[in-house]
Amino acid sequence: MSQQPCILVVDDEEIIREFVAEVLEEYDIAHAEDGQDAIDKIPDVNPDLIITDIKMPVKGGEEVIRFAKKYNSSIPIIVITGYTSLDIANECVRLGAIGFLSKPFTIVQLRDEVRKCLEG
Amino acid sequence: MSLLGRFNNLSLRVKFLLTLSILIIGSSFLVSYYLISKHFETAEKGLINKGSALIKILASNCEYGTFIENEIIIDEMIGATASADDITYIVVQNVAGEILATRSQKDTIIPNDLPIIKEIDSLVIRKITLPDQQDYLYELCYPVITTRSIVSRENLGSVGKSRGHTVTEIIGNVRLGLSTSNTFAETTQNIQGAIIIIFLVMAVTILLTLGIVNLITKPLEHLAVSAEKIAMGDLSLNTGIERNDEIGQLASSFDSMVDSLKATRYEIEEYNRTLEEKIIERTKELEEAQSQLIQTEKMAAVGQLSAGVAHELNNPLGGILGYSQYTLEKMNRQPFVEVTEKDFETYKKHLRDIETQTRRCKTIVQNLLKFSRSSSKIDKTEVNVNATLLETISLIEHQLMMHKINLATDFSNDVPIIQANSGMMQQVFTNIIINALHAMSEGGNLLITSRHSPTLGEFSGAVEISFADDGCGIPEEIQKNIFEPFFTTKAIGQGTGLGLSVSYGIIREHGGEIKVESIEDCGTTFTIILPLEKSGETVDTDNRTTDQNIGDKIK
Repeated sequence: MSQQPCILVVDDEEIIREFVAEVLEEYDIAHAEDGQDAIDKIPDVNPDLIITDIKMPVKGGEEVIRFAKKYNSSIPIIVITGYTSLDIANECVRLGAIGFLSKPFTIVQLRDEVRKCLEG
Repeated sequence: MSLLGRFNNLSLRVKFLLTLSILIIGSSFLVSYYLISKHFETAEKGLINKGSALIKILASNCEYGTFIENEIIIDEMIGATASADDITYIVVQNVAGEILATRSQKDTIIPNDLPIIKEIDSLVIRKITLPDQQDYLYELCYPVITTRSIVSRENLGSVGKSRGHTVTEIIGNVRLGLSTSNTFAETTQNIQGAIIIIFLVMAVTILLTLGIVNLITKPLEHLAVSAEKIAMGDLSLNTGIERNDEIGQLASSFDSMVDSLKATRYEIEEYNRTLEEKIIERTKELEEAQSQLIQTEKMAAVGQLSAGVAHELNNPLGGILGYSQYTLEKMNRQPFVEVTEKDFETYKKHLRDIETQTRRCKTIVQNLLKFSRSSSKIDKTEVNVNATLLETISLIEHQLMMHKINLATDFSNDVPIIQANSGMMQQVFTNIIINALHAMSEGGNLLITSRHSPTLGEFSGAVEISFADDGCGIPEEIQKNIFEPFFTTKAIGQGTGLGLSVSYGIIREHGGEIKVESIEDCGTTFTIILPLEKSGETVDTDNRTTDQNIGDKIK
């Protein structure tokens, strides 16, 4: 049995983390409660994909992206945010995110975005 | 008090009456005295003149009798005269002073102390009082003279015209006592009549004076009473005096003045009423403008909060949408009969999550609506300050988190319930927190405290709420301006410049005050003091949170 890709879900909203985990049940899911937690876990988890919120306490999504890209520049990153501002999306793309999901998103959007990112 | 002072204090009528009566009585007495004196004088003169004429006739008539010193002839001469009323006595004396004849009224003692007059035509008049009589009498004395011719020896016996010379010599005296009784009795009778007439005239004059005085003073008194009533504000009266004299003119002027006063008062009242209406209108306009201003500022705050609120809503909505879709998808794929108990529990959990998140959305929307609600006037209700602070924080906490601001709260649990407009309070709190947030662009710490200060305020103390940040602070030179409308240090488009001004207005409307203490580069503390009304109630709440970090509060 081939090993499932590992996805690190970073969000300070527990319900979002749980929902993403349940929708992506075919993947190996790791959770991080905020940016700092994600930065701490990335070296251990070595995720194939990171799904991260932008605005979080302590450290935000931008710092997670920066750290992840420094750690492994090939890790695809999907940004999910409650903000609808294009500026934020642009900033994330500039930092290296390749997917963007605006809350609330559908399960189809989530699955498609994850699939696209994992398939490269 | 001096006599003049007392006189001045008398009423006008009494003054008039007193003065005129004294003048009338005084002048009457003076005139009467003068007339009586003159009357007596004239009567005396008449008596003396009469006596003088009489005594000269008597002296002439008694020449012969005296010459021969015959009492019978003399008595015959004086008898008729002596019986006259005013004659008290008539005495005829010879040149030696011996009484030749006398006629007198009964029991009259005739004085005999007058020397014989030695000069021809010399009439002596003296006033004497007889011992047995009350009234005095005038005694007139006149010499009796005779003339005889002296013939020289040469001419003795010659017939015809011979030129000799005559000698006139005094041969006696006639004394006449004139009684004044009759004359004075008649005069006194006349004077009595005159005095009665004078008194009657005086009484009539005083009565007429009283009438005239009344005629003058009555309208004046009426005018005085009217003036007093006018002074009390009663302009409805009219003097009712219709005369053509000066009083009438005065009354007419007075009535015109009252009419003019009435018109002026009506104008003033009208002006006041209009002014009042204008003030009410302006106040209403001002209140509307203020309300609009508050609403505008509130909407500006809502605008600033909107991104955070949208984010706050999108998070639970993400869960709701996701879980509902996911559960539906699973249920669609799985025939009903194959649903296991575990699946059933999972669906139930998802539905509970959906319910929880929906409630979260509802709370956020309600808070936002409550905050945005327009209120045209201050509708005060019982407000729990701690609860209002928590509601405000719930709307803004995301913003704070995004700006890396650690929020700590210290709400005292003895903060009384206050009478306030909770929406307005929330607006003030939001504004101050947003200002703190802008003052800490690089992140920082914000401490919100609430407590009951029993020593402040008029009745049961006051509620003191403070917001202390460690941001950039406010330069001392602009601290005095921060509550002024349109004063802002923010870039154009980033603030209305009305936030603190509106907050200040709201707090003042609640009878409170808002103070600022700030040190540049160290931080700012805004303190709101809301005085309690007559009875303060203590909040029975377990909201006390001390030094609670925003990370612990915000999920």
